[in-house]
Amino acid sequence: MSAARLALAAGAFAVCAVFGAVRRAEREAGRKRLESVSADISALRVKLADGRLPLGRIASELAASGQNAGYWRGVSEAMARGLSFGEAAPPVPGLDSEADEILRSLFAGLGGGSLRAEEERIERAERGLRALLERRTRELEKRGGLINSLSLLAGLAAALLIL
Amino acid sequence: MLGSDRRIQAVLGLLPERIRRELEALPADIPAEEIRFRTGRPVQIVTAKGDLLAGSALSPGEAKALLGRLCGHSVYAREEELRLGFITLEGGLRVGVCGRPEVRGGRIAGLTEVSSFNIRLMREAVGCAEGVMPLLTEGGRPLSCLIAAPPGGGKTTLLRDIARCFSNGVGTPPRRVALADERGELAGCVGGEPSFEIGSRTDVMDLCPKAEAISMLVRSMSPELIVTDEIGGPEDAEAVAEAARCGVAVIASAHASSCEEILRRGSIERAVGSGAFSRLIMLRRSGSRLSVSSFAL
Repeated sequence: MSAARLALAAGAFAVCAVFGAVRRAEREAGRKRLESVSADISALRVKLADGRLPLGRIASELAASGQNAGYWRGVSEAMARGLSFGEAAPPVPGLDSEADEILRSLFAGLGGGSLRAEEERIERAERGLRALLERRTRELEKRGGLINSLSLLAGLAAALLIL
Repeated sequence: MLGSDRRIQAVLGLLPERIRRELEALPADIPAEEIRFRTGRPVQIVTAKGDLLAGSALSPGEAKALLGRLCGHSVYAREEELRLGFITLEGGLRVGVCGRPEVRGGRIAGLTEVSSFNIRLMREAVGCAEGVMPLLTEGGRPLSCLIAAPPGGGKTTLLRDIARCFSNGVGTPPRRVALADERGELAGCVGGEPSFEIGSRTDVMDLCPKAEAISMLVRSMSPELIVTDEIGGPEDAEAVAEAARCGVAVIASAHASSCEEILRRGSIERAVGSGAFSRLIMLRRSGSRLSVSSFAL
């Protein structure tokens, strides 16, 4: 068995293992992103309901609080130029289509209704995000290990084939 | 274009593009006092000498969007003001709104389906009260006075400058003045800061029902003079009478076109009867000229 073949087998195993780890890390990052956005939406509701702050100011305060700062800074700046919240808030990067849909329907008319209507709308979105977050956490627990195991197995199989 | 006033330009910037262009095409010298928008009907520009219908109609969708823009895209944050039927914008511009009220628990909670907007272009006339100051003082002390005029007669503009004169000591020693500014028109406060010149010794109770504002001001700010706009109900008259009993002078305005008319109004008649006011000042406006008559009560 040549040294080159051994090296190739080890390389194939390493690539598969890294691929699995990266996929798992991506999923974990997506879940964390969802968690932080969900926390921001809850903070938005509290500032809106208790403080009755205008949305531009809420976005600016969320930008200062650290989580997703860049995103909220962009929203705050766009609202200062006269755009509505729906116009000012682009899709949050790093979220899947389901989370994106919940946020899009929340952001679209935010700011145009009464306090009670806005609270109800945000609470509905919070419930949706919470349910999605729970699902993603469960999936990650189940599939995260599976992805790791499968990629390690695939790497092992590729290495054996090469050898 | 309807003049180059920064506040008017700011409001025009909130209008739908189509209507804004039409209004910008109007002559600059129209002395507009109000601009009224109604869904499905042309824009009405009100001046002291009459009105002018111009511009195309606002659609219901545009009216909703306009309300959003007037509220900084946060209608809920202006709910308390909307409940009273108006929004005060930066620079003290007041926008009256009309539509279908949302009633919750038997109480008006806000407005839905807004169909009319009345943008009142309040003018500041610093110095306009200096000529009437001798009528408002006796031995250097402020007198409690009732200022009456028909709607649009200049009461608010005069009251604002009266506050400034007493506060800054123009024609009288300086006094602690308090404004019970229920509709936000006297001081035009935005974020707690007055948009108009109301004097250095003036405190403002902003967007608070008049009667409560007067009681709170008497208790908390020990004013020597309270200035308030458009008293009407019995609770207002009672609050004024109570302030007078506490030794605080009150200068208030009321809608009326004659002495007889104002004294026929039950609550005001009672306030006058209780000695709350010692003088009635009637304003009459003819174009840009304002004439003043004073009566001892």
